[in-house]
Amino acid sequence: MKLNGSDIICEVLLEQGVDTVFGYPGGAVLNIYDALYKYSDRITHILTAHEQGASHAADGYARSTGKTGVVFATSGPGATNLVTGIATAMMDSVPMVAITGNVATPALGKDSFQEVDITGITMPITKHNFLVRDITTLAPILRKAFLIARSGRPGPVLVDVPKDISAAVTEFEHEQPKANVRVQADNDAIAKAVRLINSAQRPMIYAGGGVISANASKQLLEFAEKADIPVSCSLMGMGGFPNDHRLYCGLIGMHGGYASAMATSHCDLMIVVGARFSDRVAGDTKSFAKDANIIHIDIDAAEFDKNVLVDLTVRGSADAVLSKLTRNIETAQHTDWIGQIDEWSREKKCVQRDGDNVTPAIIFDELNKIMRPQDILCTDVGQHQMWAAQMYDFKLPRTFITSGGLGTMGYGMGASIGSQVGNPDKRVVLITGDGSFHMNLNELTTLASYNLPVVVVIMNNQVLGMVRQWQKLFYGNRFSHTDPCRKTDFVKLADAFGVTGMRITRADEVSGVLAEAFAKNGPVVIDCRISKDMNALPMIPPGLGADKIITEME
Amino acid sequence: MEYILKGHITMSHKKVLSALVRNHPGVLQRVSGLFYRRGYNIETISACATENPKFTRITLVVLTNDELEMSQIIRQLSKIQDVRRIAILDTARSIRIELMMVKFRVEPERRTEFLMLSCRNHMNTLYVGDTSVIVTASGSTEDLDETLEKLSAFPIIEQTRTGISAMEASDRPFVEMDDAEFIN
Repeated sequence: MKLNGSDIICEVLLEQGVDTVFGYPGGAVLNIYDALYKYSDRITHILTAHEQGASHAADGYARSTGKTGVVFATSGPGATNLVTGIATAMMDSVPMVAITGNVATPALGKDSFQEVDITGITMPITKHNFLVRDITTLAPILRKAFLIARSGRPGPVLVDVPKDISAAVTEFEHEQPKANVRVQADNDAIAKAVRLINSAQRPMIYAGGGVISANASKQLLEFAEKADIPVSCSLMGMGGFPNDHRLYCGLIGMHGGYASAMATSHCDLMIVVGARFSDRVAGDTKSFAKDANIIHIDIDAAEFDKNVLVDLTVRGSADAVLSKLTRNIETAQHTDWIGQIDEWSREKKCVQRDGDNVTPAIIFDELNKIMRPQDILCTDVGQHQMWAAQMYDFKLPRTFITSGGLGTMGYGMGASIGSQVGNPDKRVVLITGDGSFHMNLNELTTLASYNLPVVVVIMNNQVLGMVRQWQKLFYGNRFSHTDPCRKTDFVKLADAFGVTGMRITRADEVSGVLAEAFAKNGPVVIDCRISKDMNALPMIPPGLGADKIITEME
Repeated sequence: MEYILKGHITMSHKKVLSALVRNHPGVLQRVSGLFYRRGYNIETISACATENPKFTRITLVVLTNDELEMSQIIRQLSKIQDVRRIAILDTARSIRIELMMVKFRVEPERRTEFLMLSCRNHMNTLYVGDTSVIVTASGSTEDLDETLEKLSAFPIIEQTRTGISAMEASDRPFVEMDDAEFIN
């Protein structure tokens, strides 16, 4: 059949199983938006307040559902507004397809109105990108974009479609989506890994986001239980292993638990699954797990020996590698070692108290009571994010939606929109800080327009807490621009956006207000006042080893 | 029987990479951008058409002593979707040639002397001006450096070099062209 470029885009989306997209219209995508109007019975388009919000929404949708997120934006500023969202998805390996409009091909390169070289701009922050110059290549390019986005180590792909291409007509035929390309683990490497695992006395697992993107949490649980190995999760791996399991030993890294840090220093075998030894996990790459053999399992060979030199690499998808390992290893027990880790866990618990005032622990204790295992916790970036990773009990994968690699403040509003749209039956809570929330609070209007029942909990300490904490530790209490003296009344603000606003000022109000917010079944903003001197602890200072952990500060 | 006639000099800290990439617009930018943002050092980069119009061959001379960095470079380059094949050329079994053009300042009274000297050093004369001569030569980077040294009595007005083009000294193609759908 003959179709124009915009209809082809919609048809390929349907072919790829896409029923929800996020975006914002504009001049260069008028043709595409006209097609979205026509296809509105089959493709739901969520309009955000700003393209950045749409890009984070597509990302949150992808992380929480496991499907590929799709975002549309117009040329020029529309496209550049996606940049932070695309970079966020790239750093955390999130499958996303961004479709941007551009000026018509004859106007390209002429500094036309709203023209920008978005393929040039996004080259370092996409897995791949395309500029479509010929209508006959549009459908194959879009199909390839989806295949690249979800195959191997997932990531964002951008397709730039000039306005004349979205109007041009060509022959179109449906095609079945291609299966993901699988990487088979090498049997020789598996055999070597099995030998190392069977002979280890003090093994530990460091699980990362690869466990979640490969849907390998079941395989990780089976493997850990059979080999009786404690599991630490990176920020991105959170939810990949149930936090209430006896083998769970906590967050690993800069703000990881004391037990994880001690286990890292004392283990004789570290099995790293779908993780990349980021500087937020291995601050000092030389001393990281220095007494241990390290087995690195990853789908991306470029991660091997990039940050930390390892003893054995196993390339493959986490699910495939873990199930092969589980089949081949001996059942083991490491009672003494696990007992030692439990002791470390008890030894240094960083519980901060603040009289009658609300503390992070009180909020997360309450959330742990009222959230169901499948419910979704989104965050922004800062102290609140670390508290969430430390204190919330994640039980299932794809329930923790957070910007790990890029650390994007302002990510949470868009991400919670995408998570709620993709999971209408689950409760979505956004934990944010007053700093992060100020960055993209415009998206409250999207929550209101679509009546998305997201509960936004602002841990409002009136300061840019994480940066301030670093100023306390490393910059002699010189609080340069971290105490902005903002006068924003978040309750009134919520009201102005057509969203319910509530406030928590004392510890004894937490459970009542949260219960009331959850019962509303609509968007709620809770201004939760906490002290500006609550710190994210423990903390291993940047570049240092686990033995330099700070568990207390003023 | 093998004869390696020219362009065979060991370059200790230099590695020659030969990459076959899809002949797509922007592919050179993808490759050079990766070197820039990851902080790898390129000495020369050259790109040219091949016998197959679908492919471009990019030859890179990379400065590194570090085996790990070299393997990172290969792995990172392999992740670029348009890079189809990539390999390090074995310095002992490959031919590496670059082309150089040099414009020398040559006053008329020394012209004969210059032309004899350049001829003896296997340079071809391309242009003779009032007070200048443009000559060209090809060979390994070291050959060319040596040649320039021999003509050092004459001041250089300007110089251009293509960067290295390389090929393995063997009967087979070094990297097979392969346009199979493979997603990294």
